[in-house]
Amino acid sequence: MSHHEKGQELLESYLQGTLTRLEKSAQKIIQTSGYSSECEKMKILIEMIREQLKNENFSSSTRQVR
Amino acid sequence: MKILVLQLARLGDIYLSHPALRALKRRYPQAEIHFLVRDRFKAAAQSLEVVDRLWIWDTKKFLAPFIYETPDKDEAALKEVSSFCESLRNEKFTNIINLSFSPLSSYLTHAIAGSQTQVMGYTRFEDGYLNLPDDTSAYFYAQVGVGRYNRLHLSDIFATTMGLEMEEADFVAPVKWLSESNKRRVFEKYNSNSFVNQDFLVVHIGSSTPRKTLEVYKWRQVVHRLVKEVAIPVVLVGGKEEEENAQQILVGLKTNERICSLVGRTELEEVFPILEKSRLVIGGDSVMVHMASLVQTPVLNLSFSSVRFWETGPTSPGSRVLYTESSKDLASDRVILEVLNCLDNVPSRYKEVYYRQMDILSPYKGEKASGEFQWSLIKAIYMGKMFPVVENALTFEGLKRLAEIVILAKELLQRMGSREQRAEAQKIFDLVDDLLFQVMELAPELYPLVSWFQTERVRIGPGSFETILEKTKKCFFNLEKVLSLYLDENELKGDSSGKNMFR
Repeated sequence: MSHHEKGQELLESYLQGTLTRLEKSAQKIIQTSGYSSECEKMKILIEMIREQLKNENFSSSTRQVR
Repeated sequence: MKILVLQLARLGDIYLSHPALRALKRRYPQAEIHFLVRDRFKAAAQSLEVVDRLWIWDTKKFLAPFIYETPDKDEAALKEVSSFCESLRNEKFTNIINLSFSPLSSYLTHAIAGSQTQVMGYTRFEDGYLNLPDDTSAYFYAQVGVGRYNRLHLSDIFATTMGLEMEEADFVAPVKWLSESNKRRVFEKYNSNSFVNQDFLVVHIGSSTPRKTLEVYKWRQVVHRLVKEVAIPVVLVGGKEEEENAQQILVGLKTNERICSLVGRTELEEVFPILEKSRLVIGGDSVMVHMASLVQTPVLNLSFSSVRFWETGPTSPGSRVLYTESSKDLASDRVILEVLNCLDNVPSRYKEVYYRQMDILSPYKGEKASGEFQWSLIKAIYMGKMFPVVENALTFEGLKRLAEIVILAKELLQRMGSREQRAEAQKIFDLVDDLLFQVMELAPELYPLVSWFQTERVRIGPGSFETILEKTKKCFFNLEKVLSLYLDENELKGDSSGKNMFR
């Protein structure tokens, strides 16, 4: 594995960890106080991070992700 | 009137949005049009004269706290996002049109819309669930994308989302890039190259991913043969990241009056004048196709299965699509033959070639493209056309399975009306989605029908239990109506005697 690929893998792993943490936080907010503006901003962040993960064809208008 | 259009997809999607934006300005000349795009692709939105203000979605900035391990990174990132959303919300847009069709853009749209803002495109309900407020968004959700059967072009879908119809005059490049002064500047810059003063071909050797274009060795074969067999110069274009590929392609060729490489040398604003002057543009599924379409230059689009050429293929008259499952299946000979056919305006002899006539891409040879049944089904469901005849036994079987699912669902929904039976009925009802998925696997021809049905359920949105129950019943009722076009009364009741296999 090249240095670049190793770096990519580390970044991906880090982002995955961040994603999981944010998803848990968002879920907690929804459970305690419902879907709020703060929760919505968190969802925006969550989706942005998801887009950065490998194999996520984030940007095409015609993608299938829901 | 203040309108925000969101286009957070890729470079090509931004160019595909240009005609709809022009139509929007034409329809509402007094409106202030704002356009939100990603930082990485902003070049495609700059200088679009119908846009009054360009907003930039800077992903790097929002995610920087995570990348640089800022203290309290979650709060820091949230603050950045909130601040940006607040800026947009404070504009108090009368209309927001989301052409991105993605989860991110749906949350963003809801976050910045005011209580009086009319929203088109994906957004969210107050409880965070996906909201498809208009029929076009529902269509997109159900039918658009790789592996599906839509044949409407994205540029048309964008305009329809806005409730507009486009005109030929909407398909133009930004005025600034086709001004006489810019053209003069561009052709003076490349004056030392002989192509400037005559007809030439443009070959775009790149794309955003390798699977959307030919392998380098095949491009080499194509370009070498073009130089030998075509009477006009060949001009290679592409980004800096394609320079190495260009070098490999040119090995064995002397740069002379027949071949010239501009790969890695052109700025985006220089490409439009070059494409406009070209006789033909040859390339994979890439942004060059969309740019050529905006200057009405015919394109020979080499298209592969990772992209739906129906949705993103060239729209300029005289264009063709040469489609194969993958670039491995496309011989360079075929490409050369099709280039010559294009230049001589000769119809293709091969069924995998599609040509553009009016608004439609049609196969040469008149043979039906794969997915014809599904497309006919889509036209029937959404455009009021006749429902197609079922000729496939599996499809008919799938229709009968759907009828059985409807019977089961109706019974469960009835039970849910009673509080005592609700919990158990709900548990079983949750399996309905699995059953529908099985039907799609059994009978792929029914995909559009099932997808339409599921989308109508997604559109129900939040409400009281009774309201949701009634709306769900209505969805199943509507599905039953469609099934009644294919199944007799007994079959609708789940009694399949096997007498009427086909219609």
